[in-house]
Amino acid sequence: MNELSPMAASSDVVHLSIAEASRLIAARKLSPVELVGAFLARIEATQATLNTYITVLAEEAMEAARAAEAEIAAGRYKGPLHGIPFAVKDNYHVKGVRTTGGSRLMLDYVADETATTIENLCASGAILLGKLNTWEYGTGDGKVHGDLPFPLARNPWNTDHFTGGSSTGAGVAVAAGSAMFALGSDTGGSVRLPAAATGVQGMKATYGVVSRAGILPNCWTLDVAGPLTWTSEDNAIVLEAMAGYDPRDPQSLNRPVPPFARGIGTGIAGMTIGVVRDLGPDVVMQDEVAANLAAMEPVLESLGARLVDLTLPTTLAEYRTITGIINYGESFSIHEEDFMQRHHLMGASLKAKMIAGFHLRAVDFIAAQRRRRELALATDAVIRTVDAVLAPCTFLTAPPFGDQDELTRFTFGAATSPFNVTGHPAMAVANGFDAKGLPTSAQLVGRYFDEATLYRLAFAYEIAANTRAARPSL
Amino acid sequence: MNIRATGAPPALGEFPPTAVEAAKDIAAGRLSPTELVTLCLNRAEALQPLLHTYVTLDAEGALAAAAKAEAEIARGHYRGPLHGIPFAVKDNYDAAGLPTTGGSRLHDGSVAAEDSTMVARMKAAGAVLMGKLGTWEYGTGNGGEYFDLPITTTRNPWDPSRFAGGSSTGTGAAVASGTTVLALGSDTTGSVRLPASACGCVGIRATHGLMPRAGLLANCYAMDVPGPITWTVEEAALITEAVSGYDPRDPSSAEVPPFVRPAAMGGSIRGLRIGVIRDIGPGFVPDAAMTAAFEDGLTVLEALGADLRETVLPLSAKEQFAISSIIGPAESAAIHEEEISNRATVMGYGLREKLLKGSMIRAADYIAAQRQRRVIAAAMDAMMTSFDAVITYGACHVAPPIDDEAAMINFTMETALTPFSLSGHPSMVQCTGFTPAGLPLHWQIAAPFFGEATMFSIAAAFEAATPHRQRRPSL
Repeated sequence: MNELSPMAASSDVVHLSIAEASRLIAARKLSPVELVGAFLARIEATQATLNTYITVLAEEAMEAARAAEAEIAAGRYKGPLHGIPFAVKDNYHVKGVRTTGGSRLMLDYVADETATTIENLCASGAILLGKLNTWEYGTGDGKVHGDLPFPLARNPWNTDHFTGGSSTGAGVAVAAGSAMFALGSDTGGSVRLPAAATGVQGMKATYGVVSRAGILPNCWTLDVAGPLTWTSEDNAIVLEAMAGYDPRDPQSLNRPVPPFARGIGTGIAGMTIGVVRDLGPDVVMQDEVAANLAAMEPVLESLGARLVDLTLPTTLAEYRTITGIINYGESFSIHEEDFMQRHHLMGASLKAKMIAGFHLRAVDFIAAQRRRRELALATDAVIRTVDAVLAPCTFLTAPPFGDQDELTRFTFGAATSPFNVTGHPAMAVANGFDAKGLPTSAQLVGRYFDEATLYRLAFAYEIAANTRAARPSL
Repeated sequence: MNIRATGAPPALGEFPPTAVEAAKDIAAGRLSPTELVTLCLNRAEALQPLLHTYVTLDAEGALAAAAKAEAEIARGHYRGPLHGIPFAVKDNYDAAGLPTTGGSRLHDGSVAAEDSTMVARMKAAGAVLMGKLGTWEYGTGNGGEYFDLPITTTRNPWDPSRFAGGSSTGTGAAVASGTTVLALGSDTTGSVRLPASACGCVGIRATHGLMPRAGLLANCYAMDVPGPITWTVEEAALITEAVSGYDPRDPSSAEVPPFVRPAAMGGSIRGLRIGVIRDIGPGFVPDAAMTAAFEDGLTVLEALGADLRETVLPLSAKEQFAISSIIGPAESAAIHEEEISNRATVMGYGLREKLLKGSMIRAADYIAAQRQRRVIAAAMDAMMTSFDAVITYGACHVAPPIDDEAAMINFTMETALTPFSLSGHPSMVQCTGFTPAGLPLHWQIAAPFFGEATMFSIAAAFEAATPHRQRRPSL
């Protein structure tokens, strides 16, 4: 690779989208070696302030970059992810690399397998930069105590503020330009909440579409692995490469993967969008969050969409109660032995969750799973009356550290968990900022297996409202 | 109990024919459905004071249905081999116009508005419903009999001082004593197979999801299946054909092609590979008589050309029972949670004890049990699919004396029935002989998923090669 694009020489290369970077890489105007090098420099420049990463795989990434460069030079271009650097929440296993789960219980654990999703992405040519900060085992009780073995990840828009969890490093990496895309995992919101907190796009696909093999489990029947990206198109590209049947994962569905990115720009003329306005009596939305959500509607209408009111079959409070029972019960069953024998090594947030799960009766768990089935069917019946749903994501912007009540409300007061309970695809999309410059977001929800419609909608809105222009100044 | 008002109880009469024998005569006009159901009604009334097989005997409804069947057949509209055949159902099945008591004081006495799917399908095949049979409270309990239900406990027709098996307590007794021809029960961890075993009948637990359970009182979501109890294997196959198939009213209903009876019931089983499980694991030891009949039975199958090979359960019967003891009570408690909180004193001791236990089970243990079940079920399937069928013990013991609480509980608990409940594979029991005291012995045949045809073929071949169906209780 003899020619250097002028762009490659500047730090703006870390702010390229996957789509933009791949065009340059395919045209041999940008080398994976330069790209990875720029990201590694960016990591180094931001790590002390943001604590984004737990483990950086610099040597391995550069070696992979050189291999990618050689392959592309030899004419073996694999596709839009070839040479694209990414990072994963530190609950994803990579063979030979430590998986800490953000926990003292796993600081010495070296994985003996690689998560299927990572294998899929590397087979597409993507390059792993490292493991990202996370709440302990990807879970907790909403409070942030600062008692975990790694310093807290910080919000690049304001470093005194929370990043969203539990994939605490994933949104940060993408927003700050220290990974071109990130993988998180979502049980009640843990992909969409960090995305909302940091103003990036985060997708929780339909339950069963993305393999969970090689990812530490948090909750058997709720966990979904998902991508965080700067743009909707990037998200579609990554999901397409991540998804697909995996016999290693009992909940993986044997369905073909649709080409999510194809037709993403065809627009939304004629799309019927259900707008969820009333989530129940206890919902209190920050003014700017509400205003930015409302401001989306004329934009969508100007693009030719038809907006109708949509009412979910029950209150947000009931969805949350059901999720909580299932989550706490299953999470406890996963960590019971460690809780009984090594709880002194657990952080306070995980321990609190474990104590709640310990006391949970089987009869309540069974009742919750049965009510869940009813809610899934009833919610699906409502969603199927429209093409897509526009709903709130969080009701607050990312709170400052120190206020446990507000931090807990950011996480547990969001509208994300209903779609874990029902399994519908749901995506956090950035839609503006509050008065302090912190991002606000909305949530798009789709019919089962219809991520493509959500991407088309998110893309059209993103371009029309120009939400991807401003990056945090670091 | 609704019975015809007469002076003295009617004479006992003969045992009814099997459905297979009756169908030939009914189709040829030699036997009227009214005659057949009257024979059964007479026996039911005569034996009720001794055996208490019925909770509700609907003589009026039965005679009306029989008359209707007769008229249809006379017009040339013969529905098939179940047309005009009397049947009765455990009193946890809904049947329109009759109460579903569940054997419980919790029930409000109201009648069911519509038939359960199983009953509807039997009626559509032309079968004649006689009434509702005895059951443990809500089809469950702790294995003991406490004589504290609003219904009188059913007795074993082979020895009325003994238990008839539960929880479908009336079903085996009714068929064995000829107070009906065919019966339907329900099986969670043995509640069809145990009464069938205790009373020398055929008892079927089909593949989970093959027979629809809409309109049955729920006991345990993970393991409940409806199931026929009959005198012969072919009758069980006839029922299976009539009732199986997808039911949109039942979320657990399997979307599979309809079951079809094997063309040659009792035909050759030469070359079929049958796995034999003699050792069901520590703690559960079959009676000597049970074992002797088991081994004699294997000799018969070998002589018929079956290829028998030794195999083992992937986990002992006792350990599998322990797992079911977490799932079953927890789910039962979830079903009855409101009643436990508010009306526990109205329940019988057996149900109350089980439900209180179930209420105490932690979610963590239930979740762990379900995960273990998944692993064991996969191991069971790997074992089962390496054969055409598997034979093992059902219960370890013969029907116990009803006043011996320890023997009662052991009869229900010490079995190899639970593994097939956990995994969902089809299994059945059939009579293999009798003890010197005249109590029925049995074994259990199981098959891979939806392998009912194979199971029936083996059982039918064994039945045809042995004299056990000639012996009825002396009543």
